[in-house]
Amino acid sequence: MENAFEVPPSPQVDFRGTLEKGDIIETTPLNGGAVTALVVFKDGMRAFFSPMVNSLELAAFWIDDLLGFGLVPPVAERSVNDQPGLLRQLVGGAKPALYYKTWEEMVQPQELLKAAVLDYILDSRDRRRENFLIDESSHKLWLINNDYYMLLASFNSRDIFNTAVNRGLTDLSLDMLAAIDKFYSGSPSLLNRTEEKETLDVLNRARERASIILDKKTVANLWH
Amino acid sequence: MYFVDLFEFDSRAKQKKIATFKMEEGGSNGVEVEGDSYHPAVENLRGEGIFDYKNAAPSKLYPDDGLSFLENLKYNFRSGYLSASEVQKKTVD
Repeated sequence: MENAFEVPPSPQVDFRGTLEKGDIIETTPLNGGAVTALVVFKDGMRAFFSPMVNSLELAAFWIDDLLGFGLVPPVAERSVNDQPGLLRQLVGGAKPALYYKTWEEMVQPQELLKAAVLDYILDSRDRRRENFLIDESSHKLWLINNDYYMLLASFNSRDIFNTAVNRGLTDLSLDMLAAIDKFYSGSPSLLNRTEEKETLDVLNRARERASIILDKKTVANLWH
Repeated sequence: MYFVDLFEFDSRAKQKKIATFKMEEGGSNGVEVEGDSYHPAVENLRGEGIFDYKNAAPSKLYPDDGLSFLENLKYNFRSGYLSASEVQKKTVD
């Protein structure tokens, strides 16, 4: 089962650079409360725009980036049509997990375990099937909507973590422990990127939770 | 009548309306669905409900909870892949 799916290596493209500085060629208004526009870049990349800057989502991306897990689509602060906000890369071909009756069978087991680890480190509370994507062709997971409701509200939905544990995916490989250790060592530098208290709390909490995982070397029994 | 539209981003990268959730003003029958009531996003709501995001409370809301349910749909569907509108009001003659 572990080798049932191969997650193809991603080409080295600077998606975040495009979000931050790339030429925007088209902006299409969208219906909805939170996401108000679809932005198309000159290089073909597309992103969703929200007219509010949520540094919590930036922090989630920084944490994932430092772990090297590649589970959070790139996000960047940017003004679009003179309106400050947040751009989130649109993951083409991926759909919210609730479109699938058994989403867990679409993803590579190690990808599922990585996502469970990241959700534990983030202390995600709203990881319902609306809030993560499945890419059937690459067997990947993407964690989205990593905002106040995900990281700080008093909710208790942990679909990915619970699924990993229920499938016995709990013990961490040496590679994964090394990645978490790299995050633990490097995470103090993330504190320099923001002055917002809520975001600093999330970053400090993430470091503490990484330390717990490094100590236990498993995600079993971490959340009761 | 109060209503909320639910949209998905389809395979052609276009936003498409899936369903409308509506409730009569002063009505006691809760929220009804017009449109694709078998869409996974709609079916999931009936079974699992949604959190009370507005009050940041871990309790769940269901269509029978009326306006509270409608008001919280935009928080439950807050990505571009699935988006819910604000609650809108339509005067019925």
